[in-house]
Amino acid sequence: MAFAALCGIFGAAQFSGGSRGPDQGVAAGPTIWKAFENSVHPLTIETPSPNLTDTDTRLVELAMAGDTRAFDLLVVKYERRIHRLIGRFVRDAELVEDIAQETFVRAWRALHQFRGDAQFYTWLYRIAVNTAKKSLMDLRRDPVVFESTLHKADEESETSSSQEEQSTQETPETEYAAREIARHVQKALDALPEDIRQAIVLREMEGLTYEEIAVAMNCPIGTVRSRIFRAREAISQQIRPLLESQGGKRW
Amino acid sequence: MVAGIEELSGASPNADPGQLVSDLMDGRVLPAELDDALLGLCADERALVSWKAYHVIGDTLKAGNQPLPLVTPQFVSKVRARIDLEIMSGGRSARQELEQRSAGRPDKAGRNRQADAANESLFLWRAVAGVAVFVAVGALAWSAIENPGLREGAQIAARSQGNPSSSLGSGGTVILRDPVLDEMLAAHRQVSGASALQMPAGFVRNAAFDSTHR
Repeated sequence: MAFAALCGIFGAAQFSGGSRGPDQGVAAGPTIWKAFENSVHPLTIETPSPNLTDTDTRLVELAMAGDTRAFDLLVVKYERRIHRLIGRFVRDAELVEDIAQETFVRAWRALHQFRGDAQFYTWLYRIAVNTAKKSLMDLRRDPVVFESTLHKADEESETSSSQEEQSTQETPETEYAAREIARHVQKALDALPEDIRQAIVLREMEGLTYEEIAVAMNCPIGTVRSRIFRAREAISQQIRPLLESQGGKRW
Repeated sequence: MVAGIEELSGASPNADPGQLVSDLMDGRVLPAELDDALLGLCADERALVSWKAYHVIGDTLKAGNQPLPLVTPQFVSKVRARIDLEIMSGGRSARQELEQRSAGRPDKAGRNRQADAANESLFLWRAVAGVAVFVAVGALAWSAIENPGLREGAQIAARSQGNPSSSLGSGGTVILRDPVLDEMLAAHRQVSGASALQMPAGFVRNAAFDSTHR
């Protein structure tokens, strides 16, 4: 990507400025978990850019005040990342969903412990890892647990990658639907005018702030804001039928 | 620098809900207008659909070539149902729980939420377990009251058989001797080469009680 290198300096600066998440005080688990935590620290994979106004923190405050709709917004925002995080270690898709549910319920119970000094996803990430650890510990104590429900770090070889494997409960239809969404997003992205495409790519893929994008594209911030919205709206028009066909209009 | 706070969104009521969602996602809403923007988002079904679609787009773009895990549309509803169940059973929100804790008055519901027992919702089973514990303690107490001197009586009976006397052996070791046993051995003029606590030696066939050298 041509402008990826141009803006690499922005991305590097941004990723180096994050704060580590709070230690939730979990005892050291199996080696597989240590390797996992070292390999996929949240700051190295998908840290949102620093916000001028922290929407997540305000949503947490509203949820603590009893507004469960505010917490729904957080669930919708992070459900895919949490599923993917848990799915790296649990092969069974149903078990992934159970652990993801438990993660969000535990997060709701512990909302009062979120002080806002770290990003909400960093805090949620720790809860997800701890919940998955506990679930796997319980499974290991269960004599009828199948080894196939667990991912192991040494399973992957040159010719076999767990990421390429289909989960035991994952049907071809769901796999197809996920790939269809990705394909439609890419197709809609390619069809965008160049300036709008650059704006959304710099924002979503490179993680730049509006200010950094304005500098990179030599345009006002208001223009950046408008281009990013137009890009999102154009792409969403392509994927909304797919999202609705999955399960009606329930957002 | 082209940045300026005036470029932040002013969440006007006539603004496109999609623009509002886009601003919220990127933190471009003025702090003073954030609450109104979030309330508007929660109240507008179109904005909620955009909230999900825009996040799916963002996550898909970040994921690159790897397709995202397909989350079932019912996932939010399931989480919401579990939370609603907890609210109904606990009868209080997290905020109220926080206030309870800060006031130093942890109530029963708050403790239960911290450590959910497996039989939390089964009051009947808990009652049965309590009655069983009560009956077990009562039975033990009754047996203790019924036979208060049982162990003490056994000890007295053992003492009444005669006190074994002790004497100091040649190596400074204490040797326990039973006078009754000595009398019986002297009367029968027999002695064993082995201790009473050991297995008898197989090669000793006979032994005599040599009274002349005693």
